[in-house]
Amino acid sequence: MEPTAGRPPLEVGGPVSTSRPQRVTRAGQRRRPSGEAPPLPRTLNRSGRIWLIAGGAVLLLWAGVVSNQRTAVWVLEADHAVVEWIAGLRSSVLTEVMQTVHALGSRWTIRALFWATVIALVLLRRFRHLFVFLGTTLAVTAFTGFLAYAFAWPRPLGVEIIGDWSGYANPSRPVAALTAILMGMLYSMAPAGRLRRVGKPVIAGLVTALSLSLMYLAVNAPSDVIIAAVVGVTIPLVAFRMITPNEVFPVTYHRGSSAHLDVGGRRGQAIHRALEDQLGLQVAAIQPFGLSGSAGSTPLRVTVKGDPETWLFAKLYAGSHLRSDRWYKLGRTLLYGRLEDEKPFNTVRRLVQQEDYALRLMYGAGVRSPEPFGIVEITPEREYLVVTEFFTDAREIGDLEQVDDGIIDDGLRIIRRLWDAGLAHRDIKPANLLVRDGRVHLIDVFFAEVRPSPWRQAVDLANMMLVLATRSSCEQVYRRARLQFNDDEIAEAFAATSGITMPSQLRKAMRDQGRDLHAEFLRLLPEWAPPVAIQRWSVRRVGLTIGVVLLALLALLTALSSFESAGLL
Amino acid sequence: MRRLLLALAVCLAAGGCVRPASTELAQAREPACRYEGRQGMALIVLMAQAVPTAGQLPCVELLPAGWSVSDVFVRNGRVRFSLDSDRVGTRAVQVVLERYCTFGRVTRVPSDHPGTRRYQEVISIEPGRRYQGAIYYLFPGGCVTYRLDFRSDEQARPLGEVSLALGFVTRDTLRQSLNDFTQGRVPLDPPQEPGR
Repeated sequence: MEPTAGRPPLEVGGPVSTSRPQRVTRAGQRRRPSGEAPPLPRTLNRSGRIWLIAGGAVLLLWAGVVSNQRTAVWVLEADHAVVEWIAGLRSSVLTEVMQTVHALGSRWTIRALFWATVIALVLLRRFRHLFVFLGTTLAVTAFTGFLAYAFAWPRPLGVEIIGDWSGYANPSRPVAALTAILMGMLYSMAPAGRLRRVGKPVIAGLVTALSLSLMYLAVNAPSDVIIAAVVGVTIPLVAFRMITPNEVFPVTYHRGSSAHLDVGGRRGQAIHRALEDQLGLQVAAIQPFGLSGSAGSTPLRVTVKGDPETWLFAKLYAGSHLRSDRWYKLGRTLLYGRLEDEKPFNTVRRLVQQEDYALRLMYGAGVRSPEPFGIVEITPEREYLVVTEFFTDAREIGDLEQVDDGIIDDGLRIIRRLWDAGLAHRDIKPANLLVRDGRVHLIDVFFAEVRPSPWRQAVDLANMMLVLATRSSCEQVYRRARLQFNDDEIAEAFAATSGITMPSQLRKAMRDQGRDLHAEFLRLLPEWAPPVAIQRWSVRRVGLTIGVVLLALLALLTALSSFESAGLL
Repeated sequence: MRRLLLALAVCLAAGGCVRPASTELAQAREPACRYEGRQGMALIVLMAQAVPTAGQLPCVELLPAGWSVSDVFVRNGRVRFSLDSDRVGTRAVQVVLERYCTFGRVTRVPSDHPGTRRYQEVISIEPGRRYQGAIYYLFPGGCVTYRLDFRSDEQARPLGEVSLALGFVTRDTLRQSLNDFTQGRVPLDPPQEPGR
């Protein structure tokens, strides 16, 4: 194949020029001095710190108390006095009530709550919260089991025990397990705010009720339930606040992509401050924008103060996006073999650097893409914003009724320019093509690749032709394409693209129209090129598949054995 | 900090940290009749609480070489622990303390422990390969069963070792021991109600 033989001049369809961005008013920037906290520091808040310190201190103190004969006897005596007094209140009715309340800490109640939460979190696709919930529940049951073994504390002495029990008494494992599971449910299911605030006293009430019943039945003494409650609260509280902070992983029930972060509250304020300090922008407002077209970041529109006010576009990236990118690439490698650029990023910083670099490359190559304004740090190594020009009054190509020859030529010219610059966009779809004043603008260059394979470049061409054909006809697009690409190049493009290589939004647009545009284009071609297979088999892919299956099995077996030893199965 | 927490969670989940690293700690949690000169360990107190009527509590006097304690389980109404042997197999002896025992076809034999009645039962013998049987000790308020399962051609020697290894602590001794430990401030059992 001759790659560019018979290529028409670039001027076809009008002159190439990048749009002039609006003038954005910028004031002075401010450098964050050493030692000053970043805009959104990642810390436990006050109650989390207090619980962590209190939990550690109580456990250390308790270990000291039980290891010393004198203090241990003192605690035994105090426990005995309290339990004996409570046992003195026993009556047949009260005993029946307490036996019922005791069921709160039964193995079956714990199992029911645990598995109901696991199922709910799976159905809600809240996997990060699920793993923290599993981890903290297992950690609490294992840790209390270890402490009970280490402390070797008897059940209340000198009082008739009238409830069911097993093993050493301190810390009380039913209290710790119930507290941990309820805390896990609260932090993974209840949205922050009123519901969570109401949930805390409810948990306190339930745990207190169980503790009172255990003391009434003389199954546990006060010290047993206090230590258990401290462990049961501290581990989940600290874990959820550290691993799923609400600013980053909010618990919400509105519909939408889990990739979209909440930009209100503390994060909103941090973004304001960071944009002002790092880019010198006077921010008037920050709003989510075009969420439906983005699944890998949180797109935002930033209103900048000035006369008149201007807009900038920003994409917020966080650790969750980095992990999604990793899973996405692993999945693709397992399903199709190593396509191209399937190496995951190591850090969020790397990820935003790639996007900023791609933006600058595209802009420098004369592709009509947004002017980059730079990277803004929100939380070091965790959250960053990529800021670019905002295309005012632009419309998504998919929102247009029809596209004319000028727009078709302009869209195809973008592909030609990418080819000439040795670039591939890799995500040509209606949401990434904006039209303003009859000109096509290419956005979302995150997947862009330098010196891609000819296959990848061919896929870009085919996808551009398919997008344009959704708002015109295949004949019209094909006719215009032949002005910039020869038949071999177009044939190669349609040999390269199929199913998975088309972005899902493009596939959906074609499905909605009930048209098989790929087949229509193939019919127009004078000669078909043999289809390019996307399955790539290699020793690496086979090894990776076996490794992933073995790891998944190992994780499953470990989890099952841990659940069993924790009494959750 | 986050990595530390995750590592801790993984470690705990894998069960690696549940088992104590210290052998001393493990020994202190075995059902030993005597530990550091004192009769009645924490576990024996827990056993006494599990079967509050039991006048005698099973314990390990001295483990012969090759034997170890495993599978200790105490809950209200039942106590169980096992002895593993490197010669006659794991769980070669399972010791169970309950309020009552269910006998099979037993034979009464003279007891080697004062204050108890001893019964024996042979369940099955596979000559040269396996011996299964049971020994029952009856005493006021309780019953202890030794379930024997020797996977070996030897029978007499392990049986002798078991008889030497296992013993009893009386409830009165334990009561006295706890009394000494707490200087009489915390009793083992609730006060006896008149008429009971």
